Amino acid sequence: MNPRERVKRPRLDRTRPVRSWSTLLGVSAPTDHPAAERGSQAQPGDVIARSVELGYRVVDDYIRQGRKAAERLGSRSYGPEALTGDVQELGARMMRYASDFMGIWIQLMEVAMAGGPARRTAAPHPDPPPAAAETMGQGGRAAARDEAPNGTRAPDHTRVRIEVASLWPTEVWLDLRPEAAHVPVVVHALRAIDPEIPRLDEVSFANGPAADPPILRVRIPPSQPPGVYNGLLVDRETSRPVGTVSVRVSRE
Amino acid sequence: MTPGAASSLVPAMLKEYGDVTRVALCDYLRPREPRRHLYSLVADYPQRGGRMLRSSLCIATARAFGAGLEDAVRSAVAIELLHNAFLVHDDIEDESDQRRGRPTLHTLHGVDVAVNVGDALTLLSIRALIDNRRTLGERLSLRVIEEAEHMAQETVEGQAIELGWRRDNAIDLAETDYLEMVLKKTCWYTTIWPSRVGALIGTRADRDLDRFICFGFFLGAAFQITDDLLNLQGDARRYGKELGGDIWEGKRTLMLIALLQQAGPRERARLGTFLAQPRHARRPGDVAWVRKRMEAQGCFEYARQVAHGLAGAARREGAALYAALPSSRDREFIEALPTWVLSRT
Repeated sequence: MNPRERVKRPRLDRTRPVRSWSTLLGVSAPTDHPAAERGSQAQPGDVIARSVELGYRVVDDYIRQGRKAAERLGSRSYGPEALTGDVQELGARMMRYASDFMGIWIQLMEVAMAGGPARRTAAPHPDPPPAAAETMGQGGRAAARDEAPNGTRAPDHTRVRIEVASLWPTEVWLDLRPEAAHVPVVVHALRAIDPEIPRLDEVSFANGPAADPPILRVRIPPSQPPGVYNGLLVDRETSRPVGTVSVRVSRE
Repeated sequence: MTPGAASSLVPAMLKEYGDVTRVALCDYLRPREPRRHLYSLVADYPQRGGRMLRSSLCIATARAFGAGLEDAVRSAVAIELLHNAFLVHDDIEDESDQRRGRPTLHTLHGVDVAVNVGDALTLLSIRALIDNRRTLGERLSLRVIEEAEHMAQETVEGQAIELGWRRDNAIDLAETDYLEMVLKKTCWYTTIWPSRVGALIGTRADRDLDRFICFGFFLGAAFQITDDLLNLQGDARRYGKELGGDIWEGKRTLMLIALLQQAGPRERARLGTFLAQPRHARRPGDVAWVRKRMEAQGCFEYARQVAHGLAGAARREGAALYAALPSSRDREFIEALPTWVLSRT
Protein backbone atom coordinates (compact mmCIF):
# COMPACT_ATOMS: atom_id res chain seq x y z
CA MET A 1 0.00 0.00 0.00
CA ASN A 2 1.24 3.46 -0.81
CA PRO A 3 2.12 5.01 2.58
CA ARG A 4 0.71 8.34 1.45
CA GLU A 5 -2.68 6.85 0.64
CA ARG A 6 -5.33 7.56 3.24
CA VAL A 7 -6.58 4.58 5.17
CA LYS A 8 -10.30 4.16 4.66
CA ARG A 9 -12.85 1.97 6.35
CA PRO A 10 -14.48 -0.59 4.10
CA ARG A 11 -17.84 0.52 2.79
CA LEU A 12 -20.67 -0.72 5.03
CA ASP A 13 -23.63 -2.64 3.71
CA ARG A 14 -26.06 -0.74 5.86
CA THR A 15 -27.30 2.66 4.78
CA ARG A 16 -28.85 3.67 8.10
CA PRO A 17 -28.39 2.79 11.75
CA VAL A 18 -29.39 -0.77 12.47
CA ARG A 19 -31.45 -0.66 15.62
CA SER A 20 -32.41 -4.18 16.34
CA TRP A 21 -31.54 -6.80 18.87
CA SER A 22 -30.49 -9.14 16.14
CA THR A 23 -27.43 -7.02 15.38
CA LEU A 24 -26.09 -8.15 18.72
CA LEU A 25 -26.03 -11.70 17.65
CA GLY A 26 -22.90 -11.68 15.61
CA VAL A 27 -24.08 -11.98 12.03
CA SER A 28 -22.74 -9.22 9.85
CA ALA A 29 -24.59 -10.16 6.68
CA PRO A 30 -27.56 -12.32 5.96
CA THR A 31 -26.67 -15.75 4.68
CA ASP A 32 -28.34 -19.03 4.05
CA HIS A 33 -25.30 -20.95 5.22
CA PRO A 34 -25.93 -22.96 8.37
CA ALA A 35 -22.49 -22.11 9.71
CA ALA A 36 -23.54 -18.52 10.05
CA GLU A 37 -26.43 -19.29 12.32
CA ARG A 38 -26.56 -16.79 15.06
CA GLY A 39 -27.93 -18.55 18.06
CA SER A 40 -24.67 -19.89 19.31
CA GLN A 41 -23.01 -16.48 19.09
CA ALA A 42 -25.59 -14.62 21.14
CA GLN A 43 -24.52 -13.07 24.40
CA PRO A 44 -27.53 -13.32 26.67
CA GLY A 45 -26.51 -10.30 28.73
CA ASP A 46 -26.26 -8.16 25.61
CA VAL A 47 -29.63 -9.24 24.29
CA ILE A 48 -31.31 -8.60 27.62
CA ALA A 49 -29.71 -5.16 28.03
CA ARG A 50 -30.54 -4.21 24.47
CA SER A 51 -34.13 -5.39 24.79
CA VAL A 52 -34.60 -3.23 27.88
CA GLU A 53 -33.06 -0.25 26.11
CA LEU A 54 -35.34 -0.67 23.10
CA GLY A 55 -38.32 -1.19 25.39
CA TYR A 56 -37.67 2.05 27.24
CA ARG A 57 -37.20 3.86 23.95
CA VAL A 58 -40.56 2.63 22.67
CA VAL A 59 -42.50 3.39 25.82
CA ASP A 60 -40.81 6.76 26.40
CA ASP A 61 -41.61 7.83 22.83
CA TYR A 62 -45.17 6.68 23.30
CA ILE A 63 -45.65 8.62 26.52
CA ARG A 64 -43.94 11.69 25.07
CA GLN A 65 -46.25 11.68 22.06
CA GLY A 66 -49.26 11.26 24.31
CA ARG A 67 -48.22 14.20 26.44
CA LYS A 68 -47.66 16.38 23.39
CA ALA A 69 -51.13 15.51 22.16
CA ALA A 70 -52.55 16.32 25.58
CA GLU A 71 -50.69 19.66 25.64
CA ARG A 72 -52.12 20.54 22.26
CA LEU A 73 -55.54 19.98 23.77
CA GLY A 74 -54.65 22.27 26.66
CA SER A 75 -54.37 19.63 29.32
CA ARG A 76 -51.49 18.67 31.53
CA SER A 77 -52.45 15.05 31.63
CA TYR A 78 -51.74 12.30 29.13
CA GLY A 79 -54.90 10.38 29.70
CA PRO A 80 -58.22 10.52 27.93
CA GLU A 81 -59.57 12.57 30.80
CA ALA A 82 -58.22 15.52 28.85
CA LEU A 83 -60.95 14.94 26.32
CA THR A 84 -63.95 15.21 28.58
CA GLY A 85 -66.53 17.72 27.53
CA ASP A 86 -68.05 18.25 30.92
CA VAL A 87 -67.50 21.91 31.68
CA GLN A 88 -67.97 21.53 35.41
CA GLU A 89 -65.53 18.67 35.48
CA LEU A 90 -63.01 20.64 33.50
CA GLY A 91 -63.39 23.61 35.83
CA ALA A 92 -62.74 21.47 38.87
CA ARG A 93 -59.77 19.87 37.18
CA MET A 94 -58.28 23.18 36.16
CA MET A 95 -58.55 24.34 39.74
CA ARG A 96 -56.84 21.23 40.92
CA TYR A 97 -54.08 21.51 38.38
CA ALA A 98 -53.51 25.13 39.31
CA SER A 99 -53.23 24.15 42.92
CA ASP A 100 -50.84 21.34 41.98
CA PHE A 101 -48.59 23.87 40.39
CA MET A 102 -48.68 26.12 43.40
CA GLY A 103 -47.83 23.28 45.67
CA ILE A 104 -50.92 23.42 47.81
CA TRP A 105 -52.66 20.24 46.79
CA ILE A 106 -52.61 18.29 49.94
CA GLN A 107 -52.88 14.62 50.54
CA LEU A 108 -52.84 13.34 54.06
CA MET A 109 -51.16 9.97 53.98
CA GLU A 110 -50.71 9.17 57.60
CA VAL A 111 -52.98 9.38 60.55
CA ALA A 112 -52.43 8.75 64.18
CA MET A 113 -54.34 6.40 66.37
CA ALA A 114 -55.82 8.42 69.19
CA GLY A 115 -53.41 7.99 72.07
CA GLY A 116 -51.32 5.54 70.10
CA PRO A 117 -48.43 5.59 67.66
CA ALA A 118 -48.82 7.02 64.19
CA ARG A 119 -49.58 4.55 61.48
CA ARG A 120 -49.92 4.55 57.77
CA THR A 121 -53.21 4.87 55.98
CA ALA A 122 -54.31 2.07 53.75
CA ALA A 123 -53.56 3.95 50.59
CA PRO A 124 -50.48 6.12 50.43
CA HIS A 125 -49.48 7.16 46.94
CA PRO A 126 -46.12 5.77 45.78
CA ASP A 127 -44.98 9.18 44.74
CA PRO A 128 -46.28 11.63 47.30
CA PRO A 129 -47.49 14.91 45.88
CA PRO A 130 -45.39 17.98 46.59
CA ALA A 131 -47.51 19.16 49.46
CA ALA A 132 -48.28 15.81 51.02
CA ALA A 133 -48.97 16.18 54.69
CA GLU A 134 -46.80 14.61 57.36
CA THR A 135 -47.79 13.24 60.71
CA MET A 136 -46.57 15.45 63.49
CA GLY A 137 -47.05 13.26 66.48
CA GLN A 138 -49.44 11.11 68.43
CA GLY A 139 -52.26 13.57 68.48
CA GLY A 140 -53.16 13.09 64.87
CA ARG A 141 -51.82 16.47 63.84
CA ALA A 142 -50.36 17.05 60.44
CA ALA A 143 -48.99 20.00 58.54
CA ALA A 144 -48.40 20.51 54.86
CA ARG A 145 -44.88 20.80 53.57
CA ASP A 146 -44.35 24.06 51.81
CA GLU A 147 -42.21 22.87 48.94
CA ALA A 148 -43.06 23.47 45.32
CA PRO A 149 -42.64 20.61 42.82
CA ASN A 150 -39.23 21.82 41.75
CA GLY A 151 -37.94 21.73 45.29
CA THR A 152 -37.99 25.49 45.84
CA ARG A 153 -39.97 26.91 48.69
CA ALA A 154 -43.40 28.06 47.72
CA PRO A 155 -44.76 31.35 49.02
CA ASP A 156 -46.07 31.19 52.59
CA HIS A 157 -49.65 31.86 51.59
CA THR A 158 -49.74 28.43 49.94
CA ARG A 159 -49.24 26.60 53.23
CA VAL A 160 -52.11 24.91 55.01
CA ARG A 161 -52.03 23.07 58.29
CA ILE A 162 -54.20 19.98 58.64
CA GLU A 163 -55.23 18.45 61.93
CA VAL A 164 -56.96 15.08 61.91
CA ALA A 165 -58.36 13.14 64.83
CA SER A 166 -59.54 9.69 63.86
CA LEU A 167 -59.57 6.14 65.09
CA TRP A 168 -59.70 4.96 61.51
CA PRO A 169 -57.26 5.24 58.62
CA THR A 170 -58.19 8.52 57.01
CA GLU A 171 -57.06 10.43 53.97
CA VAL A 172 -57.70 14.08 53.34
CA TRP A 173 -57.49 15.84 49.98
CA LEU A 174 -57.65 19.59 49.87
CA ASP A 175 -57.94 21.49 46.60
CA LEU A 176 -57.53 25.17 47.31
CA ARG A 177 -57.33 28.28 45.22
CA PRO A 178 -54.42 30.54 46.17
CA GLU A 179 -56.70 33.40 47.18
CA ALA A 180 -58.28 31.23 49.87
CA ALA A 181 -55.45 32.09 52.23
CA HIS A 182 -56.52 35.75 52.24
CA VAL A 183 -60.28 35.47 52.61
CA PRO A 184 -62.48 34.24 55.45
CA VAL A 185 -63.32 30.67 54.55
CA VAL A 186 -66.05 28.45 55.84
CA VAL A 187 -66.46 24.75 55.20
CA HIS A 188 -69.81 23.05 55.50
CA ALA A 189 -70.46 19.50 56.61
CA LEU A 190 -69.03 16.92 54.25
CA ARG A 191 -71.42 14.55 52.53
CA ALA A 192 -71.17 11.09 51.05
CA ILE A 193 -72.83 10.29 47.75
CA ASP A 194 -75.36 8.10 49.53
CA PRO A 195 -77.77 10.49 51.28
CA GLU A 196 -78.49 7.83 53.91
CA ILE A 197 -74.95 8.04 55.25
CA PRO A 198 -74.64 10.62 58.04
CA ARG A 199 -72.71 13.77 57.24
CA LEU A 200 -69.27 14.48 58.56
CA ASP A 201 -69.96 17.54 60.68
CA GLU A 202 -66.78 18.14 62.60
CA VAL A 203 -64.80 19.88 59.92
CA SER A 204 -63.59 23.46 60.16
CA PHE A 205 -61.28 25.80 58.33
CA ALA A 206 -59.75 28.65 60.29
CA ASN A 207 -57.53 31.45 59.09
CA GLY A 208 -54.78 31.78 61.63
CA PRO A 209 -52.84 34.88 62.65
CA ALA A 210 -51.09 36.66 59.80
CA ALA A 211 -47.83 34.73 60.11
CA ASP A 212 -49.46 31.31 60.44
CA PRO A 213 -51.05 29.18 57.75
CA PRO A 214 -54.78 28.48 57.84
CA ILE A 215 -55.82 25.29 59.62
CA LEU A 216 -58.16 22.60 58.36
CA ARG A 217 -59.44 20.51 61.26
CA VAL A 218 -61.16 17.18 60.71
CA ARG A 219 -62.50 14.91 63.45
CA ILE A 220 -63.88 11.52 62.50
CA PRO A 221 -66.42 10.17 65.03
CA PRO A 222 -65.75 6.50 65.85
CA SER A 223 -69.17 5.56 64.50
CA GLN A 224 -68.67 7.30 61.15
CA PRO A 225 -69.28 4.78 58.32
CA PRO A 226 -66.39 4.22 55.92
CA GLY A 227 -66.56 6.09 52.64
CA VAL A 228 -65.63 9.26 50.84
CA TYR A 229 -67.06 12.56 52.06
CA ASN A 230 -66.86 15.74 50.03
CA GLY A 231 -67.52 19.39 50.67
CA LEU A 232 -66.89 22.89 49.43
CA LEU A 233 -64.75 25.62 50.94
CA VAL A 234 -66.59 28.88 50.50
CA ASP A 235 -65.53 32.52 50.77
CA ARG A 236 -67.72 33.74 53.63
CA GLU A 237 -68.00 37.23 52.17
CA THR A 238 -68.76 36.46 48.55
CA SER A 239 -70.23 32.94 48.97
CA ARG A 240 -68.08 31.81 46.08
CA PRO A 241 -66.29 28.45 46.26
CA VAL A 242 -62.56 28.66 46.81
CA GLY A 243 -61.80 24.97 47.08
CA THR A 244 -62.93 21.47 47.86
CA VAL A 245 -62.13 19.03 50.60
CA SER A 246 -62.48 15.25 50.39
CA VAL A 247 -62.09 12.88 53.29
CA ARG A 248 -61.84 9.15 52.88
CA VAL A 249 -62.47 6.95 55.91
CA SER A 250 -61.39 3.31 55.73
CA ARG A 251 -61.81 0.30 57.97
CA GLU A 252 -58.86 -1.76 56.69
CA MET B 1 -39.49 -12.19 44.77
CA THR B 2 -38.17 -15.67 44.20
CA PRO B 3 -39.48 -17.90 41.40
CA GLY B 4 -40.81 -20.23 44.10
CA ALA B 5 -42.86 -17.49 45.70
CA ALA B 6 -44.14 -16.39 42.30
CA SER B 7 -45.12 -19.94 41.42
CA SER B 8 -47.23 -20.37 44.54
CA LEU B 9 -48.57 -16.91 45.35
CA VAL B 10 -49.57 -15.86 41.84
CA PRO B 11 -51.68 -18.94 41.01
CA ALA B 12 -53.33 -18.73 44.43
CA MET B 13 -54.23 -15.07 43.98
CA LEU B 14 -55.36 -15.62 40.40
CA LYS B 15 -57.70 -18.30 41.65
CA GLU B 16 -58.95 -16.21 44.55
CA TYR B 17 -59.67 -13.06 42.56
CA GLY B 18 -60.65 -15.06 39.50
CA ASP B 19 -63.35 -16.80 41.54
CA VAL B 20 -64.62 -13.47 42.86
CA THR B 21 -64.77 -12.11 39.33
CA ARG B 22 -66.52 -15.21 37.98
CA VAL B 23 -69.25 -14.92 40.61
CA ALA B 24 -69.81 -11.26 39.72
CA LEU B 25 -69.63 -12.16 36.05
CA CYS B 26 -72.72 -14.35 36.48
CA ASP B 27 -74.82 -11.21 36.96
CA TYR B 28 -74.08 -10.30 33.36
CA LEU B 29 -74.31 -13.76 31.82
CA ARG B 30 -77.73 -14.83 33.04
CA PRO B 31 -79.51 -17.03 30.50
CA ARG B 32 -82.33 -15.22 28.74
CA GLU B 33 -83.88 -15.03 25.31
CA PRO B 34 -82.72 -15.21 22.62
CA ARG B 35 -80.59 -18.01 24.05
CA ARG B 36 -79.76 -20.27 21.14
CA HIS B 37 -78.01 -17.74 18.97
CA LEU B 38 -76.93 -15.21 21.56
CA TYR B 39 -76.98 -15.51 25.34
CA SER B 40 -75.95 -19.15 25.61
CA LEU B 41 -73.06 -18.34 23.29
CA VAL B 42 -72.16 -15.13 25.13
CA ALA B 43 -71.42 -17.26 28.18
CA ASP B 44 -69.38 -19.80 26.20
CA TYR B 45 -65.86 -18.30 26.25
CA PRO B 46 -66.09 -16.96 29.83
CA GLN B 47 -67.18 -20.41 31.00
CA ARG B 48 -64.22 -22.08 29.34
CA GLY B 49 -61.94 -20.69 32.02
CA GLY B 50 -58.90 -18.55 31.50
CA ARG B 51 -56.20 -17.20 33.75
CA MET B 52 -58.17 -14.14 34.93
CA LEU B 53 -54.92 -12.16 34.93
CA ARG B 54 -56.51 -8.89 33.90
CA SER B 55 -59.28 -8.92 36.47
CA SER B 56 -56.94 -10.10 39.23
CA LEU B 57 -54.41 -7.38 38.47
CA CYS B 58 -57.16 -4.76 38.57
CA ILE B 59 -58.49 -5.96 41.93
CA ALA B 60 -55.03 -6.44 43.46
CA THR B 61 -53.89 -2.97 42.40
CA ALA B 62 -57.01 -1.34 43.80
CA ARG B 63 -56.63 -3.20 47.08
CA ALA B 64 -52.92 -2.50 47.30
CA PHE B 65 -53.82 1.18 47.15
CA GLY B 66 -56.44 0.80 49.86
CA ALA B 67 -59.72 0.10 48.07
CA GLY B 68 -62.17 -2.59 49.10
CA LEU B 69 -62.85 -5.64 46.98
CA GLU B 70 -66.33 -4.41 46.09
CA ASP B 71 -64.89 -1.16 44.73
CA ALA B 72 -62.93 -2.97 42.00
CA VAL B 73 -64.96 -6.03 41.11
CA ARG B 74 -67.23 -4.39 38.47
CA SER B 75 -64.20 -3.04 36.64
CA ALA B 76 -62.65 -6.51 36.85
CA VAL B 77 -65.81 -8.00 35.34
CA ALA B 78 -65.79 -5.36 32.59
CA ILE B 79 -62.25 -6.17 31.52
CA GLU B 80 -62.97 -9.90 31.44
CA LEU B 81 -66.08 -9.35 29.31
CA LEU B 82 -64.18 -7.09 26.96
CA HIS B 83 -61.29 -9.57 26.83
CA ASN B 84 -63.69 -12.31 25.76
CA ALA B 85 -65.26 -9.99 23.18
CA PHE B 86 -61.80 -9.36 21.72
CA LEU B 87 -61.08 -13.10 21.69
CA VAL B 88 -64.25 -13.89 19.72
CA HIS B 89 -63.45 -11.26 17.11
CA ASP B 90 -59.70 -12.02 17.07
CA ASP B 91 -60.41 -15.69 16.41
CA ILE B 92 -62.41 -14.71 13.34
CA GLU B 93 -59.79 -12.23 12.12
CA ASP B 94 -56.98 -14.73 12.71
CA GLU B 95 -58.98 -17.68 11.36
CA SER B 96 -58.13 -19.58 14.54
CA ASP B 97 -59.47 -23.07 15.07
CA GLN B 98 -59.15 -23.52 18.83
CA ARG B 99 -59.65 -21.44 21.93
CA ARG B 100 -59.14 -22.72 25.46
CA GLY B 101 -59.03 -26.31 24.33
CA ARG B 102 -62.21 -26.27 22.23
CA PRO B 103 -63.19 -25.16 18.74
CA THR B 104 -63.53 -21.42 18.33
CA LEU B 105 -66.97 -19.87 18.44
CA HIS B 106 -67.12 -19.02 14.75
CA THR B 107 -66.13 -22.53 13.70
CA LEU B 108 -68.97 -23.89 15.87
CA HIS B 109 -71.68 -21.37 15.03
CA GLY B 110 -70.59 -19.38 11.97
CA VAL B 111 -68.92 -16.02 11.55
CA ASP B 112 -72.13 -14.00 11.52
CA VAL B 113 -73.35 -15.34 14.85
CA ALA B 114 -69.90 -15.06 16.42
CA VAL B 115 -69.48 -11.42 15.42
CA ASN B 116 -72.81 -10.65 17.06
CA VAL B 117 -71.79 -12.52 20.23
CA GLY B 118 -68.59 -10.46 20.37
CA ASP B 119 -70.63 -7.28 20.05
CA ALA B 120 -72.90 -8.41 22.87
CA LEU B 121 -69.93 -9.09 25.15
CA THR B 122 -68.63 -5.58 24.45
CA LEU B 123 -71.98 -4.07 25.38
CA LEU B 124 -72.15 -6.12 28.56
CA SER B 125 -68.74 -4.81 29.57
CA ILE B 126 -70.08 -1.26 29.22
CA ARG B 127 -72.98 -2.20 31.47
CA ALA B 128 -70.56 -3.44 34.13
CA LEU B 129 -68.67 -0.13 33.96
CA ILE B 130 -71.90 1.83 34.32
CA ASP B 131 -72.80 -0.30 37.35
CA ASN B 132 -69.64 1.02 38.99
CA ARG B 133 -71.73 4.05 39.99
CA ARG B 134 -73.17 2.09 42.90
CA THR B 135 -69.81 1.78 44.61
CA LEU B 136 -67.59 4.44 43.05
CA GLY B 137 -69.98 7.32 42.49
CA GLU B 138 -70.60 9.26 39.30
CA ARG B 139 -67.31 11.05 38.88
CA LEU B 140 -64.95 8.13 39.46
CA SER B 141 -67.13 5.82 37.39
CA LEU B 142 -66.92 8.27 34.50
CA ARG B 143 -63.14 8.34 34.82
CA VAL B 144 -63.01 4.54 34.69
CA ILE B 145 -65.21 4.59 31.59
CA GLU B 146 -62.92 7.18 29.99
CA GLU B 147 -59.96 4.93 30.74
CA ALA B 148 -61.82 1.98 29.21
CA GLU B 149 -62.66 3.92 26.07
CA HIS B 150 -59.03 4.89 25.68
CA MET B 151 -57.84 1.34 26.31
CA ALA B 152 -60.26 -0.07 23.74
CA GLN B 153 -59.09 2.50 21.22
CA GLU B 154 -55.44 1.55 21.76
CA THR B 155 -56.29 -2.13 21.45
CA VAL B 156 -58.14 -1.85 18.16
CA GLU B 157 -55.34 0.35 16.80
CA GLY B 158 -52.82 -2.33 17.75
CA GLN B 159 -54.96 -4.99 16.13
CA ALA B 160 -55.20 -2.84 12.99
CA ILE B 161 -51.41 -2.54 12.85
CA GLU B 162 -51.01 -6.31 13.06
CA LEU B 163 -53.76 -7.03 10.54
CA GLY B 164 -52.18 -4.47 8.23
CA TRP B 165 -48.85 -6.26 8.42
CA ARG B 166 -50.51 -9.46 7.30
CA ARG B 167 -52.66 -7.78 4.65
CA ASP B 168 -49.63 -5.96 3.19
CA ASN B 169 -47.35 -8.97 3.74
CA ALA B 170 -44.82 -6.87 5.69
CA ILE B 171 -41.49 -8.68 5.95
CA ASP B 172 -39.14 -5.83 6.83
CA LEU B 173 -40.23 -5.23 10.40
CA ALA B 174 -37.93 -4.27 13.26
CA GLU B 175 -38.22 -5.13 16.93
CA THR B 176 -39.36 -1.61 17.72
CA ASP B 177 -42.29 -2.09 15.32
CA TYR B 178 -43.20 -5.24 17.18
CA LEU B 179 -42.96 -3.58 20.60
CA GLU B 180 -45.08 -0.62 19.48
CA MET B 181 -47.73 -2.99 18.19
CA VAL B 182 -47.68 -5.09 21.37
CA LEU B 183 -47.88 -1.98 23.54
CA LYS B 184 -51.16 -1.10 21.88
CA LYS B 185 -52.65 -4.48 21.08
CA THR B 186 -51.78 -6.46 24.20
CA CYS B 187 -50.36 -4.32 26.96
CA TRP B 188 -53.06 -1.70 27.20
CA TYR B 189 -55.87 -4.07 27.98
CA THR B 190 -53.89 -6.83 29.65
CA THR B 191 -51.76 -4.91 32.13
CA ILE B 192 -51.85 -1.12 31.67
CA TRP B 193 -55.60 -0.59 32.00
CA PRO B 194 -56.02 -2.96 34.97
CA SER B 195 -53.13 -1.22 36.76
CA ARG B 196 -54.28 2.31 35.97
CA VAL B 197 -57.89 1.66 36.88
CA GLY B 198 -56.90 -0.20 40.03
CA ALA B 199 -54.79 2.76 41.11
CA LEU B 200 -57.54 5.18 40.15
CA ILE B 201 -60.04 3.30 42.30
CA GLY B 202 -57.60 2.85 45.17
CA THR B 203 -56.36 6.43 45.36
CA ARG B 204 -59.47 8.21 44.04
CA ALA B 205 -57.09 10.50 42.19
CA ASP B 206 -55.66 10.34 38.69
CA ARG B 207 -52.15 11.41 39.49
CA ASP B 208 -49.13 9.95 37.75
CA LEU B 209 -51.09 7.29 35.91
CA ASP B 210 -48.50 7.45 33.13
CA ARG B 211 -46.13 5.54 35.38
CA PHE B 212 -48.37 2.52 35.04
CA ILE B 213 -47.82 2.59 31.29
CA CYS B 214 -44.15 1.71 31.80
CA PHE B 215 -44.85 -1.10 34.25
CA GLY B 216 -47.75 -2.43 32.21
CA PHE B 217 -45.84 -2.25 28.96
CA PHE B 218 -42.85 -4.26 30.17
CA LEU B 219 -45.03 -6.78 31.96
CA GLY B 220 -47.45 -7.12 29.04
CA ALA B 221 -44.70 -7.40 26.42
CA ALA B 222 -42.92 -10.13 28.41
CA PHE B 223 -46.31 -11.86 28.76
CA GLN B 224 -47.02 -11.69 25.02
CA ILE B 225 -43.59 -12.94 23.94
CA THR B 226 -43.87 -15.84 26.37
CA ASP B 227 -47.35 -16.58 25.05
CA ASP B 228 -46.03 -16.60 21.49
CA LEU B 229 -43.24 -18.97 22.53
CA LEU B 230 -45.79 -21.28 24.14
CA ASN B 231 -47.69 -21.27 20.85
CA LEU B 232 -44.67 -22.87 19.23
CA GLN B 233 -43.14 -24.84 22.04
CA GLY B 234 -45.80 -25.33 24.69
CA ASP B 235 -47.73 -28.30 25.93
CA ALA B 236 -50.70 -28.70 23.57
CA ARG B 237 -53.10 -29.77 26.33
CA ARG B 238 -52.22 -26.91 28.66
CA TYR B 239 -51.88 -24.23 26.03
CA GLY B 240 -55.46 -24.59 24.83
CA LYS B 241 -54.82 -23.25 21.33
CA GLU B 242 -53.52 -24.86 18.21
CA LEU B 243 -49.75 -25.35 18.57
CA GLY B 244 -47.96 -23.59 15.76
CA GLY B 245 -51.13 -21.66 15.03
CA ASP B 246 -49.24 -18.38 14.87
CA ILE B 247 -47.20 -19.67 11.92
CA TRP B 248 -50.32 -20.94 10.19
CA GLU B 249 -51.83 -17.48 10.67
CA GLY B 250 -48.69 -15.65 9.51
CA LYS B 251 -48.62 -13.75 12.78
CA ARG B 252 -45.64 -11.39 13.01
CA THR B 253 -44.19 -12.66 16.26
CA LEU B 254 -40.80 -11.64 17.57
CA MET B 255 -39.45 -15.01 16.46
CA LEU B 256 -40.70 -14.53 12.91
CA ILE B 257 -39.33 -10.97 12.76
CA ALA B 258 -35.94 -12.24 13.98
CA LEU B 259 -36.00 -15.02 11.39
CA LEU B 260 -36.82 -12.58 8.59
CA GLN B 261 -33.97 -10.31 9.70
CA GLN B 262 -31.48 -13.15 9.65
CA ALA B 263 -32.64 -14.82 6.46
CA GLY B 264 -30.57 -14.67 3.31
CA PRO B 265 -32.16 -13.73 -0.03
CA ARG B 266 -33.39 -17.21 -0.92
CA GLU B 267 -34.79 -17.99 2.50
CA ARG B 268 -36.35 -14.55 2.76
CA ALA B 269 -38.03 -14.98 -0.61
CA ARG B 270 -39.44 -18.34 0.46
CA LEU B 271 -40.70 -16.85 3.70
CA GLY B 272 -42.26 -13.96 1.80
CA THR B 273 -44.08 -16.33 -0.53
CA PHE B 274 -45.30 -18.44 2.37
CA LEU B 275 -46.58 -15.40 4.26
CA ALA B 276 -48.29 -13.96 1.19
CA GLN B 277 -50.56 -17.01 0.93
CA PRO B 278 -53.94 -17.14 2.59
CA ARG B 279 -54.07 -19.51 5.53
CA HIS B 280 -55.93 -22.26 3.74
CA ALA B 281 -53.27 -22.36 1.01
CA ARG B 282 -50.37 -22.90 3.43
CA ARG B 283 -49.08 -26.44 3.64
CA PRO B 284 -48.05 -28.35 6.78
CA GLY B 285 -44.60 -28.93 5.32
CA ASP B 286 -44.00 -25.19 4.94
CA VAL B 287 -45.23 -24.48 8.47
CA ALA B 288 -42.87 -27.14 9.80
CA TRP B 289 -40.02 -25.62 7.77
CA VAL B 290 -40.62 -22.13 9.24
CA ARG B 291 -40.64 -23.56 12.74
CA LYS B 292 -37.48 -25.54 12.06
CA ARG B 293 -35.67 -22.49 10.72
CA MET B 294 -36.70 -20.48 13.78
CA GLU B 295 -35.24 -23.15 15.99
CA ALA B 296 -32.06 -23.47 13.94
CA GLN B 297 -31.51 -19.70 13.91
CA GLY B 298 -31.89 -19.49 17.68
CA CYS B 299 -35.04 -17.38 17.43
CA PHE B 300 -36.70 -19.13 20.37
CA GLU B 301 -33.78 -18.63 22.70
CA TYR B 302 -33.41 -15.08 21.49
CA ALA B 303 -37.09 -14.29 22.18
CA ARG B 304 -36.79 -15.92 25.58
CA GLN B 305 -33.88 -13.63 26.45
CA VAL B 306 -35.79 -10.59 25.29
CA ALA B 307 -38.75 -11.64 27.46
CA HIS B 308 -36.38 -11.97 30.41
CA GLY B 309 -35.02 -8.48 29.80
CA LEU B 310 -38.49 -6.96 29.59
CA ALA B 311 -39.67 -8.85 32.67
CA GLY B 312 -36.64 -7.52 34.53
CA ALA B 313 -37.59 -3.99 33.56
CA ALA B 314 -41.15 -4.68 34.70
CA ARG B 315 -39.80 -5.84 38.05
CA ARG B 316 -37.83 -2.64 38.43
CA GLU B 317 -40.74 -0.41 37.42
CA GLY B 318 -43.05 -2.34 39.73
CA ALA B 319 -40.69 -1.97 42.66
CA ALA B 320 -40.53 1.80 42.09
CA LEU B 321 -44.30 2.08 41.79
CA TYR B 322 -45.29 0.04 44.79
CA ALA B 323 -42.37 0.51 47.17
CA ALA B 324 -44.16 3.11 49.29
CA LEU B 325 -47.22 0.95 49.84
CA PRO B 326 -47.68 -1.10 53.00
CA SER B 327 -46.78 -4.76 52.67
CA SER B 328 -49.71 -6.86 51.56
CA ARG B 329 -50.48 -10.00 49.58
CA ASP B 330 -51.76 -7.79 46.81
CA ARG B 331 -48.50 -5.92 46.55
CA GLU B 332 -46.54 -9.18 46.64
CA PHE B 333 -48.77 -10.59 43.93
CA ILE B 334 -48.20 -7.61 41.64
CA GLU B 335 -44.46 -7.66 42.25
CA ALA B 336 -44.35 -11.41 41.53
CA LEU B 337 -46.10 -11.14 38.17
CA PRO B 338 -42.96 -10.43 36.08
CA THR B 339 -41.39 -13.63 37.38
CA TRP B 340 -44.60 -15.58 36.88
CA VAL B 341 -45.11 -14.58 33.25
CA LEU B 342 -41.75 -16.13 32.40
CA SER B 343 -42.49 -19.36 34.20
CA ARG B 344 -45.81 -20.12 32.51
CA THR B 345 -46.02 -23.46 30.73
